[in-house]
Amino acid sequence: MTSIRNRRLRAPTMMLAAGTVVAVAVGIGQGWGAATTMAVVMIFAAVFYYGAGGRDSGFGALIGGRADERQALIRTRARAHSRTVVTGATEEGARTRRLRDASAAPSTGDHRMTAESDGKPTAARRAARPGHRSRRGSRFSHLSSRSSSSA
Amino acid sequence: MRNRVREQRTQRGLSQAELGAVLGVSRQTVISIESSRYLPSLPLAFRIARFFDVPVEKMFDPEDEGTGS
Repeated sequence: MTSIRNRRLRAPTMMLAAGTVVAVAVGIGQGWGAATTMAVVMIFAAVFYYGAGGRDSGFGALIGGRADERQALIRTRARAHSRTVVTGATEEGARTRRLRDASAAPSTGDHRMTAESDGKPTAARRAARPGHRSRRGSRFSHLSSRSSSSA
Repeated sequence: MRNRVREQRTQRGLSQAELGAVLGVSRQTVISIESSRYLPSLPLAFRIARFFDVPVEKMFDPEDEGTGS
């Protein structure tokens, strides 16, 4: 794997590479209009990172790849903090999803049995009653008659 | 922890950027060390002491416990 000698170019290059992957994924999933928008945003972000990498500041040193020990410590702490935040957000999202799915699921597990809105029994419930005989017969009666005739 | 980095630097007429270039750290890090907001690593503390030709325990005074990271 080739390495980028100019440290200032590393962050923008990585951003462009990651942006290309994400833009292709968005293009496949949501259409190429959204992918174009994302690509333009990533190009602007890469240009901004390249400009910021040349500044005489802590952020510029981190982006520009010339961080000393204090700035590296700040970066390590920031990464640890961001990982904590992302992990917490992921757990909270998963918990919310589970709660939403649990509240949306029917209590009996059969949608036909819970589809009564006017208080009248559904066709499925009527068919499940003992001794019920439909005028049209069973839903699969044509199959049984066909199989009996062929036998 | 108090230190004598600013005192030694001004005695030699060096700017913070020049000292940072000699020590291989940024100007902001020199500012943080001088104001005791950041405690340098042991190798950097020895580099500072050797550059100013002062014993490290004289450059960094552990008696005055202050804030630092």
